[in-house]
Amino acid sequence: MVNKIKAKKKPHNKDHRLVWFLLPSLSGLLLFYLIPFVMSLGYTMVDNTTSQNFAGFQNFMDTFHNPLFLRALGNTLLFIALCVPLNMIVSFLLAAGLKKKIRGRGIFSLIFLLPLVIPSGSVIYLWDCLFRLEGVMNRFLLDNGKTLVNWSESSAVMFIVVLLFVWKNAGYNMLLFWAGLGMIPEEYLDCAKVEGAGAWQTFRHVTFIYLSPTTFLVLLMSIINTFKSFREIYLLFGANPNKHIYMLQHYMNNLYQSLNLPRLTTASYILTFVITIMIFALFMAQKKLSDHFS
Amino acid sequence: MKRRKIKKAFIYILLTLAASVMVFPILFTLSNSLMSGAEIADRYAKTVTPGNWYDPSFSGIHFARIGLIPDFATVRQYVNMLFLRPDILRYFWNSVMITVPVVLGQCIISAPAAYAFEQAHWKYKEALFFVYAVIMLMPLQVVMVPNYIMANWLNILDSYLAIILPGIFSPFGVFLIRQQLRSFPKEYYDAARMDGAEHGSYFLVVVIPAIKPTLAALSILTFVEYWNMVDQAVVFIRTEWKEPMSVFLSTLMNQETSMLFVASVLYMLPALFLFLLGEKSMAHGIQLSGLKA
Repeated sequence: MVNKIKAKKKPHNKDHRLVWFLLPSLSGLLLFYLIPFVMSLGYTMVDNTTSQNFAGFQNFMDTFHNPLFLRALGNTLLFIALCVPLNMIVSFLLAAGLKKKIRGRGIFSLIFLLPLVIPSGSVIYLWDCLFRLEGVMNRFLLDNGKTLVNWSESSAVMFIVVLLFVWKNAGYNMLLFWAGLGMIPEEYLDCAKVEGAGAWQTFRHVTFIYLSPTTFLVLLMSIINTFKSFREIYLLFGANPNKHIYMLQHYMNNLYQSLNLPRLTTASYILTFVITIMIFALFMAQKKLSDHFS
Repeated sequence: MKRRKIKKAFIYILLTLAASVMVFPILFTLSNSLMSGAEIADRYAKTVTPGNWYDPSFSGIHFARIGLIPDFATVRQYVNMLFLRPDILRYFWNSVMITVPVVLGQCIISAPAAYAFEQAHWKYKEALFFVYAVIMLMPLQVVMVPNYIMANWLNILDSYLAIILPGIFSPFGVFLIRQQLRSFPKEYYDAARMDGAEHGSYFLVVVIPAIKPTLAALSILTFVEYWNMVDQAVVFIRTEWKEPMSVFLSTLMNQETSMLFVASVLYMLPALFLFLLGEKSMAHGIQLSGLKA
């Protein structure tokens, strides 16, 4: 290892012992994450796990023309576009509310974190009872003279899933916003108050600016967390849900079941690429924004 | 003065509203677990049966009648689960068998690695750490592909190892602990060196006790992550009786609703218990993982 050879040239610096500290983690990471990831590139280039004929970029072409993949991609993007802003607004409001010195702050923050901690399977039955054909929402509609709605088959199912996501993840982002709000220097807020600025003005000129790094972080974590929504959707609707909420996770999950390695690795490479680009873009944008403001 | 009081009261009301929405599903599950089998069938059956005909219905559809307070509270379901369906406990144990090794392994593997990241002087250190961060941020479905390929090669598919091993080596622990170590004073190390201690003893005697809160946060976050895990279980575990409880609850939901509530409560308890113990640590951990690298 390069590390070890370098260290030997500086006998007074016992850095080479640190290799042993890093080795377990790094070897596990290599073995289970990095090496198979590179190996899977080979799978993207063959057409079939058994015959293993070289197929070049055919898999990528096929994936981009696959209507299932395109539908999954569209739904995932729509889901992110709906969830993330809603989640950020709700969690910001919660964090801002908890920043005021009200009694029972600790209990509130505990309650807001509960949906994240409680296993999904334990609580989704309520959502099922609310939105199934024989559910509470339909009864409400019926009592008011409207017709029944088959919630899990209509396009409204997307909103149910978005609600589920916000319910579960608002507490997580609230914590991040809370930490971010705490980092705003008190002097600026006091100064704004003395100068007679209203709540909206204070927000626009002081809070928003100092909150921008946190906002970018919340944005990033929210997008990453939307992929975890697979859990609730799978538990409620199974492996092949309605076409309105069939997302990339379902596409990939079904590929696992059919053991279609070439397609699977192709999809994972595409996703990895997209997400890495997105992370870069967010970091660059955040850097630019903070340079602009300071 | 009065205006501020009204504002405060308004915020209080909104927060209480939000809190009740957050907590309602949990209370619902808890209170429904105290209902008898007959009441559950009465409330949640999808069709009209002789048992529930008195409830308003519409051409054969029986609407779910959810409620927070049981008509008749009983611990009958708990008794049923313990004596009639003890096999449900098997799934609980499956979850334990997956989660506990991952939590322990994460702590043991990640702490030294984070320490090495903080102390080493190596040209490519930050690049490697960036790789750790990117892997940490990838969605599960993407990360599972390499895991799957390696599990296939090692022939451990359909066993818990396929989930446990990648979990132990997940980069999240290293990331979290390193964030904490960034603000750990380097002078302690110099002082320890002057007293003759080297990395090993310094790490064990000084660093580990100092980052105990972070280790607690890591444990809780990892526990919650793997206790609730569904994605990996669906992909890696193919035999029905090996399923962890997180997936089995879905089967219960469709087949044996009366058992669902008690099983859910039982499954909630460890997560809830750990959370109440370490909520501060967990919040600290979430905020720490957010500090920019």
